[in-house]
Amino acid sequence: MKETLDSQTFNDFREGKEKAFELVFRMYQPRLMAFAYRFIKDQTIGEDIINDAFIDLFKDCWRFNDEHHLKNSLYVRVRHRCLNYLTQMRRRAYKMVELVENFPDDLLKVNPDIIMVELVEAIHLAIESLPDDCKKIFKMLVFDGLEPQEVADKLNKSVSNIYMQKSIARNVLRLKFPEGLFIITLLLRLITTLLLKYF
Amino acid sequence: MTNQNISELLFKQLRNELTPEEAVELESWLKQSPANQQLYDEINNIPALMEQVRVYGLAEQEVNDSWAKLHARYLMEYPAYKRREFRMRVIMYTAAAAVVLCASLLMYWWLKPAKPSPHTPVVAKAVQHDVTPTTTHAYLTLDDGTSIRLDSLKAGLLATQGNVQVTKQESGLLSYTARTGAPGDRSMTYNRISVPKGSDVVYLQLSDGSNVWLNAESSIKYPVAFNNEERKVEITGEAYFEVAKSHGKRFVVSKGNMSVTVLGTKFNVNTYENENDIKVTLMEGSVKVQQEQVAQIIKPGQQAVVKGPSINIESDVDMHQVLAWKDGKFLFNNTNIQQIMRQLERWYDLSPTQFENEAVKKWEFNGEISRYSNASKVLELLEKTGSVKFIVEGKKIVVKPI
Repeated sequence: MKETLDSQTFNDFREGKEKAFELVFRMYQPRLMAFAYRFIKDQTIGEDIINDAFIDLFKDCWRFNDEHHLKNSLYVRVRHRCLNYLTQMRRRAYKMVELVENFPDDLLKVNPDIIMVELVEAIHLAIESLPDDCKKIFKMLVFDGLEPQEVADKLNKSVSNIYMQKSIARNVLRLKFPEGLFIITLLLRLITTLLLKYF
Repeated sequence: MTNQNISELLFKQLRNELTPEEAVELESWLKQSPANQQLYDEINNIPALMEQVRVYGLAEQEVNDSWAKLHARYLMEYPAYKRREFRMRVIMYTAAAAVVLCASLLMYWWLKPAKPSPHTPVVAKAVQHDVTPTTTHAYLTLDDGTSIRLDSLKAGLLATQGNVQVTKQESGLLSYTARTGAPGDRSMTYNRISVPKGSDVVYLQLSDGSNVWLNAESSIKYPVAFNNEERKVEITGEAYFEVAKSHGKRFVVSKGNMSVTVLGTKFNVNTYENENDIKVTLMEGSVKVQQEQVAQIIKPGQQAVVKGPSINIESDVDMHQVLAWKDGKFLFNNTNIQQIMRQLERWYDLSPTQFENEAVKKWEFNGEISRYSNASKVLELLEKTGSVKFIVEGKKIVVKPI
């Protein structure tokens, strides 16, 4: 998982260089899409909201001290816009005030939003690490909610083959992540446990 | 509490590995805010979590298209001149910071004259009225009143007084040695060495084995043989002593009412009439400095400053600077220009320096240069700081601000 921008990119970002804008966008846009989906179950609206946030961010590019600052600011902006959108939909202005107060304003405090997104990203990477066939079947089973029989029909494979791939996925995910205190490893182990528990 | 701690706790909780303390910790974190509880619930809501993973995967696949869309919008909403403005902001902030930095550097420079790099003396170019302090014009006065010019003498035996011989060594050291086995002579015979302005340092060994260095415009009067209970010498100007221990006999250096009493140690005494205070600086051992009724004992590294009737002790003294004269150097470390000029007057035999105005008198300088450089070289070094200008008028120097 690419965790940080290099310092050259960050400096370029502060100076308003488009190449750096693109790198920041590519790194954070998918994470923010998953993040926005927590609030708004519509990817089109989510994408618009995120684009608005990025346009704003580029305008303020010179304000950021470091990447941590930039990252937190992105999440706060997207969260704010999502909730604002929901409020407009519901026409309940008072709700907004309450939610705004719960924003993680202190950058060093635990930010549940970021934990959540990192978790999502880790699961994604774990799935991407599966062999191609296995991954495809896994996605159909989990994301599309298909039954093993339906998957077998679509792929012209036997149901037992599907079950076999499923168990391969399970074993690969279980073996993938060694012991360690590094946060990402922890998250990966956490989700592996989760996946195996429910899947 | 950090992201990492929380992840760890959540993970352990799922594996039923929480210790009771950790369970309490997790519990309190969950209660801290509704957002935490919400996160906890969301992590345990696997279908919703997997939905987010799916959205993430899709977004990652389509990120090229998404960027193309956003980039087009960005270019449209922010035409080139506006984008330049973003950049200008950074440049302006940087420029502002640079201006502040430059201003503070200038202030620093202005308030505190620069520190010139130490110069190794090179062959000085001929300058009119230039002075080189290379010969010793010092003279020795014997008890009977005869004066001997020290630099006119070749090495060898100078005189025999009682049972003590005065010898000039090849190195220039003037030494007093008692002839052993000779009959004891209890009478006191005194000699005096005077080192005038513009003269080199004189290095002397007394009959008790103590070494004395005499700076320019200084003198010392001492007994040829130390027959009394106390070894007493009188000085003017500046001298550095390395006193040898001698059967518990005290060594006393006096100047007017001020006296320094020691047993065996190394110290410097500066008693120039035109300096503000008498300064006794101790390198080793311990000495007692007395001025009439007031006495102070100082430790190595300290300096006793005799100011009128009182004696103050300074602890933060630069020994190298105090002894620079003995080591053949001028060493200035935030040294006041007046003090510097007094040193130059003595060393190069100049008339009292004239200062253009009062402000000039307050300036301080840093630098190091050999005392065997020509006067012009030393002045040049000080001029390099860019804050003063020296004008040589015969034997007088005028200090001007730039």
